Amino acid sequence: MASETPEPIKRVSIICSKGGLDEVLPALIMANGARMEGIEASIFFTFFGLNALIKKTHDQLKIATVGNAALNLAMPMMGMPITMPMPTLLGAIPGVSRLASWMMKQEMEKLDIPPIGEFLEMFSDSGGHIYACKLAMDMFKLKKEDLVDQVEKVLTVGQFYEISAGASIIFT
Amino acid sequence: MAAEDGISELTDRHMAVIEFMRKEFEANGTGPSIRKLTKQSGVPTKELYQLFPGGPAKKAARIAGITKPQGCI
Repeated sequence: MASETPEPIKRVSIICSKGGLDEVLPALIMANGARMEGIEASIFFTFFGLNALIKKTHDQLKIATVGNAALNLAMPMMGMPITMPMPTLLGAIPGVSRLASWMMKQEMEKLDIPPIGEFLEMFSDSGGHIYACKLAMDMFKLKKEDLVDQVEKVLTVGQFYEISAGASIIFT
Repeated sequence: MAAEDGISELTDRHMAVIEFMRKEFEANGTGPSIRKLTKQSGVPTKELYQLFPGGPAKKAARIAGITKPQGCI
């Protein structure tokens, strides 16, 4: 029995709950990629994901170099083998996280991945929607003015689900 | 072909995007990223999406007669 062709995806709602550079980028890349395909897209930033929206911090996001068991992946950037582990104690040395984040930003630029601030702007200009979580804002004592201008609305969880009607929801 | 993609008329602005895509394709074998496209063709992101509703990467490449850009950005 021939199966029917699956319906193409029309809308996606991406939840970004973490705020490291390597944690925010996938959400932005997936959401922006959706817009490039003509898919409606929104990102709901919650908990530490809000870090990406704060005017004062969004261009200083970092990679965690302590307790990150997959950092061996970044070793080739330093000319070392991919099998070499990055000792977590080494990651704790002041400046290592900054260095790793700087290196990643260099690689990003080569691949034409914009910095977070520019990426948010590009996504918003493409017709993508950016929302912030009300509960997380209350928890971190943040006001809408603390966030970049591209934030359309501050939403409760209920409002987020309402707005996501008919969308595939992706949690990152 | 443009009409099938919901574009009623190909304006100078459409052509600016299409010509830039063709040039990039000839030089690099693939279409440009949206970021490069908007920065170098002089057509900002907002306008690009208005010109090619339904996905600039896909639609503009199709009209330009090149393969879909390989990049994710």
